[in-house]
Amino acid sequence: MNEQALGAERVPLPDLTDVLRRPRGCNKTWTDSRRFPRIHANVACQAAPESTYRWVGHESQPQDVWLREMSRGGASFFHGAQFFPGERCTLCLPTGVCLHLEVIWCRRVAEGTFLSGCRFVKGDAAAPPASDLASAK
Amino acid sequence: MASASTDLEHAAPLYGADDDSRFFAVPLTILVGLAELRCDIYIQYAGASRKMLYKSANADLPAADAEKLRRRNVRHLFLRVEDRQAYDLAVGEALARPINDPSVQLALTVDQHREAFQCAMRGRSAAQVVTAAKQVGDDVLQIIKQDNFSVGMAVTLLDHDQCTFQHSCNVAIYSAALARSVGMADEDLKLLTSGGVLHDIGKRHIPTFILKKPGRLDDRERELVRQHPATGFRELAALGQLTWAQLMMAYQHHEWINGLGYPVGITGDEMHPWARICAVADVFDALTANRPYREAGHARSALQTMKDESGHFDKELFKQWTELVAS
Repeated sequence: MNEQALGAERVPLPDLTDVLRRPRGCNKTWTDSRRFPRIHANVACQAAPESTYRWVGHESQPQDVWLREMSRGGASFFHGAQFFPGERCTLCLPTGVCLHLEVIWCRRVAEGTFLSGCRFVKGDAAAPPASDLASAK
Repeated sequence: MASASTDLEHAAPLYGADDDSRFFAVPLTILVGLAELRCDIYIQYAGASRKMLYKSANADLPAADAEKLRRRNVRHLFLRVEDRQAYDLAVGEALARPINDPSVQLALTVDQHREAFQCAMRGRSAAQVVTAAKQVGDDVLQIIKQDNFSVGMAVTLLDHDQCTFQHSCNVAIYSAALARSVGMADEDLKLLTSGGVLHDIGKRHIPTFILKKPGRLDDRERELVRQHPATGFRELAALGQLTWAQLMMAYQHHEWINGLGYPVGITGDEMHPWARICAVADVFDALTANRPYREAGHARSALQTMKDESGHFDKELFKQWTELVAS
């Protein structure tokens, strides 16, 4: 019995390689120059943007993000609101470890979805309390 | 000497290698307005390896001769480096007198700021570039606001070379004229004009040999060029002196309405309105400028090219711009 006989339509899913490597049909336009080997993570985390730029409206609103991979130098993750170069945020891993990051590039990959590349920095501000992050879920 | 030779590198698309350090290029429009300038004027014809004496110091450059040159697509003439001081003085004196044509006044004003702005661009401090940009922006806005200012005439008379300063000024002028035509308030116009002057500040971190490269850029070079909106944004944002709208002009002026631009690839609604204005002005000036890899295009063909790529720009703004240029 085929799907058409059941009236079901096959929904085409995007090729994951396309989503990750060639977003919007363009060539790579970001600098992805981390020196260290990457670990592919694919894990849900939370990122709390610091108030680096007073104009950006998402300060201290923790966002759910999807960590793609990380290395000794930095990390990249998918998220829902645009980050800007130089913006800092605190990334909290499911293990409870919080890391301070500075956004180097941000690329729109789909409607309401962005991919950012960040480098680790020494955090000036203390990591947001775990309770804050939990309440945002 | 260093500053003069850098000027020459940027401003003169055609010159013999042995002449590099001895001459600087001056737009034809400006020379016509400097009746009292008494210097030898040189010309370099397309394909020639050296410059030739065109007018001696005691001869005038009548408007009819300039028109003939313009028809032969000669946009620049050349002065000797040792005449730089006399030239700067003549520009200052010309600006001190009332000038009927706002476009000529605009060309002279832009030229008067050239040295200070380029000096700031070569320096380390972005704050100095911002200060210089504000001065240029304020001065050109005064001229744009005159009743007899015509965008079409400005496009014809403004210099169009590959130099970042000239391009930045042209984009600021076009952006201001476009914003004014859609009813932007004076206070915002002031900010938008200086934002326009600063939109390419990130290019100061790109090596000159890449900006001037006559052939195709390789992948690494293209990647470097494509970083300039983000580099400029970071530099300006760190200063904390500009508004978000001005920062977005620097960051988003290469974004396209259809989402195929860079650095982020955002689509129409996500682009800041000031960045949309800047994008139209930026592409128009790029298409009408002399570039290392191609000759300058005519305004009409530039508009046609932009029309063919209509997915790149805000439709309403582009329509408005077309009408302005035709005026």
